[in-house]
Amino acid sequence: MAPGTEKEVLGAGAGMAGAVALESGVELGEIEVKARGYWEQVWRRLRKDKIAIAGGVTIIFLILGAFVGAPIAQAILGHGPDDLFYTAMNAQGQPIGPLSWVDNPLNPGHKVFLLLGADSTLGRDEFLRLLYGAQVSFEVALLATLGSISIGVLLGSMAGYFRGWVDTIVSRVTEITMAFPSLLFIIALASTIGDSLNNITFGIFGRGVFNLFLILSIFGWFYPARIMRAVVLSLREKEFVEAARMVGSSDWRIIRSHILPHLVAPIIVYTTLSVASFIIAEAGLSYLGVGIKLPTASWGNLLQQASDYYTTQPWLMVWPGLAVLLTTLAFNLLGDGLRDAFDPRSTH
Amino acid sequence: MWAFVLFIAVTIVTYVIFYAIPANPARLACGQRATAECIKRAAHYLGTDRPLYVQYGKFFGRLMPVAGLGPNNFSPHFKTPNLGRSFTNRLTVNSVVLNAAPVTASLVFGGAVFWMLIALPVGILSALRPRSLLDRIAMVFVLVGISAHPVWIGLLLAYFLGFKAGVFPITGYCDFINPSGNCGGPVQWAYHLVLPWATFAFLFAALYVRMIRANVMEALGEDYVRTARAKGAPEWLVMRSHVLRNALLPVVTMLGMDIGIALGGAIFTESVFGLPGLGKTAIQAIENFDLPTTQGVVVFATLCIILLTLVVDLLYAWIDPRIRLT
Repeated sequence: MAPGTEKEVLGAGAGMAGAVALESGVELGEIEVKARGYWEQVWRRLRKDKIAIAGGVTIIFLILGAFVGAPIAQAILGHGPDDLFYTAMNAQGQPIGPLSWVDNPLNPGHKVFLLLGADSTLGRDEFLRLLYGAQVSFEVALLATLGSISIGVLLGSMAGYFRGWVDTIVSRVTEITMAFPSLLFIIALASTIGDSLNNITFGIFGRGVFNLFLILSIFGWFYPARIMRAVVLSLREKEFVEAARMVGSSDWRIIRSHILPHLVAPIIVYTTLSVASFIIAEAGLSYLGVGIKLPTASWGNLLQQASDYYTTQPWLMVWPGLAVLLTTLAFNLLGDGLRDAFDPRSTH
Repeated sequence: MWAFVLFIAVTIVTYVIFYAIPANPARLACGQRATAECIKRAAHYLGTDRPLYVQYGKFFGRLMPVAGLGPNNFSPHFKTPNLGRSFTNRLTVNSVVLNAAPVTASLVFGGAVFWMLIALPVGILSALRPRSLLDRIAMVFVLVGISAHPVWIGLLLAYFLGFKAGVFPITGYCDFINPSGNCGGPVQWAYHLVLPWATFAFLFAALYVRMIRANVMEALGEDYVRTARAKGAPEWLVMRSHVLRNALLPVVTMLGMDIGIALGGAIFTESVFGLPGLGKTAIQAIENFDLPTTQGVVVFATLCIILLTLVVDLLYAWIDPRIRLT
């Protein structure tokens, strides 16, 4: 995530304060005209943004495809994403191309249909692996976003609100990690502690998902923390916080009813953008061989396998890359649209 | 001072992470049928039989450029910082890092020039003509650039330009100065790096086009630009000394920060194109549980990032007279 986004997301928070203030003014003046609520206004603006809506629809479609479509496709095709078909090779000894029928060695006399061909010379179904890879990518990206944003919001808003030693520690830690070659650390951690965590799946997640979730959360909370700190720092000097303090509200009450509502907009915007960056991170780590390990499919390790055959089967590298592009593009477009919807005055 | 604390923190963290490794480097050194005796000797030789803080202390002592104070306590002895020897091939880490650093430096700085060459004209022109065809194309480029995976861009470029068209070499690195065979010298160096540069620059070019466009548009709306135009200043002068000067200030800061971030991103480009740079060295070292080499790369990269930040701060104060160094 680029440092530049910090300022932009900040703007969304300030815009919300403005929008709310404007709203209550209208409500006071004309009582019989029902004023539009804040969320209704945001939704109306977002609905007009065709591109953002397209992004949102794509995301829903992709998630459905990954979690509902994959098992259905498996049932229709009659084989799983990890099944090996040594027959799925062409005359040159390379993985077979798209749209091909191959003999099923487990069930002689029957043919198996490989929509996008085989993933490697081991002959797994590339199409099913893409769908199941989507599951893994979404699980990692959504969990890591949840983890990093929870830590980031908690620490960032505490640092911004209480100042003092909490702020010192949080700011220093984030500064240190900004100067870290953090990718090296992520790779080192993933390859050292990763193996022992690979089998923790809680029965629902793919293998290696928990491990990446932990590592990406640990290294991902700095940006949200900095953004939240900056937003809260400006909020705590606002008149309404001062007024609340004057009438004797406790810190907890001020945070809950005066600060948190203003953080919702930047959190939502940052969440969408963060999912996109974690999907890229997962694919990158798996490509380097430290993320999701084979035989579990992920877009990253599909890309890695494809690079072995890119002169003979270039299609293999197109699919996972396109999948990553489509997904991150959808999240980025939705994120930009949401930012504009929350803060119509911001310029991009 | 702050940079020094940072530096120590980074080295300690690497040590702790690697202490968590279940593999024993001494066992690896002895091969498959390791005897207890051999492991013990190897562990002693590598120094891994001592406690963590002793290992770290020795490492830190070697790293410091000052070996100790002289007899009269006033003249410190200076020495070259030493990163130790690799666990796997016993080469000095200094030589490993120094061999790999020019490759990564060529990639990162060449890539930075590449992305600025794309981002500056495109960003400025699309800010001057918002909603024009160029602006729309640039926005699509930005979206694809920030959404596509760098590895994928690299593979596609390698396939179409390197393999299909055969215009550029796909792998290999040629030294800038020392020619070996027909591979060497500035021309071959640049020729072999075109595809890695393009791959590397793609993401950052996209980010910078967006940032430069936003900055220039913001500066164009400022009061001082209107004043300058009202006074009848020619458009190129307004652009040069009012708009660009203000719009490009943040770009300088970003550039310094991003070159630091890019050192990490170089890992992907290096592994796609098989460049023997720092990133590839680090990955190999991590896979072999080779702590000294990993540590060496991390220390070196951190040092570079800290230095770059410092240079950017100084540069910034020089460009923008409003900022005073404290």
